[in-house]
Amino acid sequence: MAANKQEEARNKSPTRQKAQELHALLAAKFGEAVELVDAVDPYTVVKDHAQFPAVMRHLREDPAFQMDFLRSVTGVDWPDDSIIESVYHVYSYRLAHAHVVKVRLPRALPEIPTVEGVWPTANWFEREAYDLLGIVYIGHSDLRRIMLPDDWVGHPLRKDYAEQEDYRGIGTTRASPLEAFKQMDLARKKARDEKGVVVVPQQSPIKPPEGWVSPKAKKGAAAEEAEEGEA
Amino acid sequence: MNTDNSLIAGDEGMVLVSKLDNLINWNRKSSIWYLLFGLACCGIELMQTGGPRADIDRFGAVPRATPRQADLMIVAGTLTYKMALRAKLLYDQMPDPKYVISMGACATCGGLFQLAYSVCKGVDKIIPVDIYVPGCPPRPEALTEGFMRIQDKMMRERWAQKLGGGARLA
Ligand code: SF4
Repeated sequence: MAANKQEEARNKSPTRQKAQELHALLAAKFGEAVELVDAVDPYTVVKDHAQFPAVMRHLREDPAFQMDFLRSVTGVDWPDDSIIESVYHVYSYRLAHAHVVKVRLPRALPEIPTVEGVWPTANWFEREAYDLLGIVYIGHSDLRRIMLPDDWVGHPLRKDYAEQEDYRGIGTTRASPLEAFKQMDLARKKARDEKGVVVVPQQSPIKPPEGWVSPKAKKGAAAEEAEEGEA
Repeated sequence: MNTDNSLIAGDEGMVLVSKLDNLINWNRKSSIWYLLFGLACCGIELMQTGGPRADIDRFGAVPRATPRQADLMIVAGTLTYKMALRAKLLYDQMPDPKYVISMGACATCGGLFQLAYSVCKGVDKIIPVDIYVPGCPPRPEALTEGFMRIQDKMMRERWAQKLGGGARLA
């Protein structure tokens, strides 16, 4: 019941309806090449990668879309399905609507044409996705790493990324200082045991007020009670 | 007052007799020029330390924008591997004697980004560090304290002695 209500509310959401509308427009033009994924926020998946540049150009230039702003290009790694998604968030300042377009690429060789020619800002976005996920944007004018150093090994946002032992001789791990403290305690204990020193826990000379029960003792009592109750 | 120094009444006023090292160190500690080197949020607190409340200017400490004029490098913030190489380069460009303060958890051990792939796990992995100032971020008071410990360290230097002792210089 509650779930239905939730669904109803969701279906009424204007952003949801807008996304569905926009997809319908795309589908009318590109037919089978695009597909709607009816998630909480519906988005379009371009299945036919040959059509992908045309779809993106259409988004920018068609009077019904006028997506003049590429908000972001990101990526998602799905190792179980062996795909990597390249995700495009586009927005139209003129018509004040937004849409999400995704392409699903094979994980072994994630290649997709660049959209740099449509939105110049894609230059840096795509470099970022290349840097962190290793998506190759074909036709990109300058596909280098953008945030990590040029000689970095691997693409760290891939789920199976393994950190290198060192980067240019700088180690990538640091021992926890707690370990050293533990070792120190152990060494002390060992020395005490060898000497036969017995440590007697010190009692505070200050007596607690009458009738006071320490939280620890209380906890113990509560646990005991619970056990009795179970028995 | 340092017992190495003594005030003597001369013919034309007081004369201070001290060790050469003391004089050099006193000069040095009274004008620590630090390399302006804020890397992340700690950099904001570094700026506060230079501001009117903590005011490390009163120690004669002023920020320099070039390593060639700096005595002290305050590594303030998250050090990425990419920046670590630059930090090493800047450190190498500083003239001796030089000191390093590692400010905040990030510079000291990677802090809350320690498990991140891109963050260097402590600036002491690439350059020697004199003072670690803990905190996230350390308050200006804490950094000032670290600063004063650097001054203490400077006062303990014995450069003139190492250079051949008092005999040769006298
Ligand atoms: S120690 Fe804390 S305040 Fe300083 S750079 Fe790291 S996260 Fe920022």
